[in-house]
Amino acid sequence: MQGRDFLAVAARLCRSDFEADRRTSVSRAYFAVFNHIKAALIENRIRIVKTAQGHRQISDFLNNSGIGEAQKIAVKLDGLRTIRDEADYDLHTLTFNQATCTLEYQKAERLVHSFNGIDVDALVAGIRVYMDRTREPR
Amino acid sequence: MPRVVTTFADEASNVTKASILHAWSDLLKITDNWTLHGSTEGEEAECSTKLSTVSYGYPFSPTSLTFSANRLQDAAAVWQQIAGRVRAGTLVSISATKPVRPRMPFLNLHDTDIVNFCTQRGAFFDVLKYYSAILKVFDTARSVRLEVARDHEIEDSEKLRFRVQVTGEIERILDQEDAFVDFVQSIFSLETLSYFVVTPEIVDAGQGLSGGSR
Repeated sequence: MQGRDFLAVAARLCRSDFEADRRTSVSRAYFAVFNHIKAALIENRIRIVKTAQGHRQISDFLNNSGIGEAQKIAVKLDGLRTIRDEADYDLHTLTFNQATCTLEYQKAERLVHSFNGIDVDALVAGIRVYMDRTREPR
Repeated sequence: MPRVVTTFADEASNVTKASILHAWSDLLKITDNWTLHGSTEGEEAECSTKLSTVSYGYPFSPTSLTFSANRLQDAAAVWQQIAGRVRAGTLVSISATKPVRPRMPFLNLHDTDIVNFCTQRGAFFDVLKYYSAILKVFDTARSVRLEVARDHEIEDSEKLRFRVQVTGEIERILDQEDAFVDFVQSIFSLETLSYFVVTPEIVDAGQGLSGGSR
């Protein structure tokens, strides 16, 4: 099981007639990207905490890595997280129509693709510099 | 040419005048060849110094914002120059009270939560710049709603969320979001960018996808 396997779930559910499916699609789309990036960082010995702070940590690492493409991913991942938070917790909102949920699924696909195009060695090096600067434990 | 809304110098206090100009000079294109519009359609005059085409209206009271003294002074000087033309009977196509383009999404900054968020971070003008960037890039934006989004899981994580209702095809909107991120990264610091998040929502999509709750 890999993080991006959640993309298939998101793809199946984003056009569902049922709002609960569509909200789940958005949630899976976010976690596909999050887990995909997290696995790549852990594989390169970047420690990600096993709490909710891990979400912020990954965004911070991408943002401060000095890699432009990673910064762009961080900005979009923050947006995806925000709408995922709404999908899972704010059940009264009317945001989750088929088109918007498909948009979020396709955004996640793009983010995974963009991340795969990044030089991971350079990314990890940039993150380590940031961790040293902020004295974050490795 | 859109029918323009006018603001006479005599109608505003000094602080308001300066604030208006400050907002304008910060957010709108100021070029060497500004275009001054008359008060009626089709009436246009070329002047040596004038404001560029108005793109947006700001539905908030500029007097509720704070500015550095230097910038206020600069803005006041610019206003004085324009005020001279106003007194001469020329209508200047600016307004801080009404949107000049009636279909432009309305940005509501009156919510206390939002005001507090901006005040704590000194981010009022960054909000307007961000909003301006949204309108510039998401050309099918129908509405822009602001809210302070607090993460349900991450402690102390809050961002100013711009909910942008857009129309059009998904691929195009994704491309616009790419362009938007490129653009805001070029004009904001990492710290300022971390205050904001934009979430496009599609309404009336052109791909036959239907929405609604069920």
